[in-house]
Amino acid sequence: MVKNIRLINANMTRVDGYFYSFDHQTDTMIQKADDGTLAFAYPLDTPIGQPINDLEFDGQSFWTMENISGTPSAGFRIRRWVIENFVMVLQQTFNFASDGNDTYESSAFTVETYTSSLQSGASENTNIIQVAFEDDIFDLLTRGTRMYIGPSTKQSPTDFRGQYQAVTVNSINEATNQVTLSSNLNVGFLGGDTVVFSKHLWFLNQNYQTTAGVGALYKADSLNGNLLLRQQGGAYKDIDAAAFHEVSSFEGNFVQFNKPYLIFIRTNNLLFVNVNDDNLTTELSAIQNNLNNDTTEVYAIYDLGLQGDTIFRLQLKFNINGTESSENTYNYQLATFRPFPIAIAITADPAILPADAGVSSSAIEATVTDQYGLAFVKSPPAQIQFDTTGGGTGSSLDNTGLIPLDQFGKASNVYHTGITPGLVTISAEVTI
Amino acid sequence: MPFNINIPVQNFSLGPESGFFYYVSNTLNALIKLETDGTVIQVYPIQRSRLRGTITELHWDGSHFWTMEDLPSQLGLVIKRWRITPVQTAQGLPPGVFPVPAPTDFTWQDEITLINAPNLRYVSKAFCVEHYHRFLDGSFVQGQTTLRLNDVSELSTGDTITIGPSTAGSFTGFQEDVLVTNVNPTTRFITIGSASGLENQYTDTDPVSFTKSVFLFNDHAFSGEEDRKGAILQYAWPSKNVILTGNGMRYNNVGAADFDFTSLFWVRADQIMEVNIGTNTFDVASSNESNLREDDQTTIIEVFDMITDLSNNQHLKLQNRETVEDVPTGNYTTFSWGNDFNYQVQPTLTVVNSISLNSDTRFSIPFPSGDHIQWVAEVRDQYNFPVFNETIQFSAAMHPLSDAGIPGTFDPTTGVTTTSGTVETEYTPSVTPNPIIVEIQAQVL
Repeated sequence: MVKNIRLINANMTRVDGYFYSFDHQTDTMIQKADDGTLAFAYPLDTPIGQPINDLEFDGQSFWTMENISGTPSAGFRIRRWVIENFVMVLQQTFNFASDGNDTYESSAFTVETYTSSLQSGASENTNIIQVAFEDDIFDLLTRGTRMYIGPSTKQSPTDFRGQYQAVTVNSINEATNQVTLSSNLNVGFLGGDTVVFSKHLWFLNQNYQTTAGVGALYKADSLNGNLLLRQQGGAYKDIDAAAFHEVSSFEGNFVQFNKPYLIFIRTNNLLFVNVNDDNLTTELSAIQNNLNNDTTEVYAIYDLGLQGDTIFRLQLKFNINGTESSENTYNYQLATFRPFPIAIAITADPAILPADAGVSSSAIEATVTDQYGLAFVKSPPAQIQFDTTGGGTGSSLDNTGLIPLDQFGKASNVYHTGITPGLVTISAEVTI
Repeated sequence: MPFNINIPVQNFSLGPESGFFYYVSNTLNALIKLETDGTVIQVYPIQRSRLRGTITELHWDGSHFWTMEDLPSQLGLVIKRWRITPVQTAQGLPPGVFPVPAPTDFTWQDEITLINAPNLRYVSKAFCVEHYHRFLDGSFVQGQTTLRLNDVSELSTGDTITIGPSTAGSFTGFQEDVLVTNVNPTTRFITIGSASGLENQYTDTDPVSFTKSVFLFNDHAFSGEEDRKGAILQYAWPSKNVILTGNGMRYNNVGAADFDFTSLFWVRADQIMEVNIGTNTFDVASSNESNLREDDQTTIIEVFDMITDLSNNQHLKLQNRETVEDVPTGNYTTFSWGNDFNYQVQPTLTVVNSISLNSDTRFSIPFPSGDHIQWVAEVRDQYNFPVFNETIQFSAAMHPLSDAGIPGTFDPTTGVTTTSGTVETEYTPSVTPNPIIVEIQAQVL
């Protein structure tokens, strides 16, 4: 029932409207359109012996994770690839083989990648560029960091349109947002042209060091694969899909949540870790609908593709609008970072009243929350409408019309008793 | 179910007579000539050699056929050169007496035998022959030792060329092999090594062909093991010396290959890849997504042999099933020919091959949301390059699993692709009180 990209492997990333996936059977990276039509395929220049667990794209390179052998606890390798002359060419391999210090066993990793733009044009044959990263991101541009600029939109006096250039950071000047490169540019760029860089690799390990089954988050340098940090946590265990994304879907009081996150799926929650916080705080959690109708089965999510406020979840099983289905290929189900109401909590105080013909009343309060468990707040405010069923003759609500939600996602009403006893059900429907 | 040559084997090629296909049958132990509808015209029994394995590829270089077969017991493989004999020529006959012996046999001429070596295991389904086609520039008579060609590029002193078949009067159909002893690249005159000169007479534009080397695509590289790393080897012809080796996965698991003009073409998984052998780097020059998935878009369709015909802008892929698209609906259907093989045409001229739809937002809140969602459709050809100046129509329809509702609208509903292959539009969701699921499509008009 749910057939879109129809992948035969449990790895996927999305780039410029196409879906990419590595196939270890043919040693190929395939490129598909939304309906599963094969658009192109790139042979690998190096064989991959095991299925790819996870695939990421950092703006320039594709990154893969595969087990070293058929024994997952033996470790894994993370590889970086680029497309050169229609072939996927291996650039680097970082082996994380289990040893006396760590038992590496992971199915999910991501590349910490930041995207911004040039603040001003950069001519060819210069080694200074000015970039528009936020201060805390700009500080990550340490010596040796590899940046990727492009596509160029500069067409005069030399036409560089569509060209890219990989550069290496030599030094930065925080006061001017200037970056001095280790060598001159060969390509000219205009202000506004895209700049990306990758900083770290993050993987979610089943084990903390050699302690099995406790879960841990590991951080490594994306330039050399050197391990930089381990943090134990049960939330990092049994993770199949992770990604890195600059979320920008929040408005109003919640704009402080717009920032880059390490994002991974844990059962049916997306967890958002702020990797630039020393404590690696999980700042958000978003409930996902990867459940069957009975809520007894959580559908596995094998990889994530993120673009703007859209989440592409790679799954074999689906529940779309209450219709369950199971496929023999991997397809995506959509979700969104954009807050939308998923729950209305209604309280009545008191909850039991005598049938005293309106002498008694109960304060009714509804709280609307989104998938993050945050109050659903927007501008103009969403509205809510209360209704009652059952209850004694003559019972009523103060306000039966649309009531705007306040800044906490709440709306109030008053229930007045009738003259005969009975069970009263008060419901509410939110209008966005 | 569409079919064309409908042959029972997995090798085919063009041959000496245009408009016909040829294949080698292990069962009949012969070369079979057939019409384009599969009607068998002639059978040439094999002479002077015995087939030791299934013929995996057949090529025609302008004068000779070439086959490849596995050797028994996984010893390696052998590439053989064949010719339809007897070759019609005037050699040794009294002046004025030109009997026309009918070509009757498919006769072994030479071979490259590749036995597994300590550093290389030969496992291959594809090879091709570097061959060139030229024409005589002028008419030439018996005894002449200097000829002029339309083009002498790639031709070197020491090469053997095949001249003919002749179109000159009673010499019609005659041909001969001669050794080139001198090439003048400026005047395009060549000298041949036969003291008695040409055996036959030829007229202007009679064909000349010559073969320089053989390329083998091997599944394994030079570790001596079945490492799946892929290798390409070039054997000079007729010396059989290895003059080039390269390794890379692009040469692994190659199902078919061919050579035309100055380029190698080979089929690997979904792609027909090209290398211009005149380049020093041997980089892949193009890669053509070649419609090699079944209608489930997952199962690969194997190509067993291929004829590349750049003059007619096509590759002919020999397959035992094919996927075709119903253009109005965009639906794919796979037809199987069971144990028979037919060719499917893959164009080399660019055609629309894929359309992607791109938007940062795929969720809109219901009710009059005020949302306006930007969509970009990108059209690419089979080489994965943008397609310019195609008219694209956007449409929206209710998803089968959605509650009832009304799709939104596009502005504009059609657009023409830019040089980047893109068209932009803006989608305005409908006013709806309940969540609905809408499918958005972009289609080439």
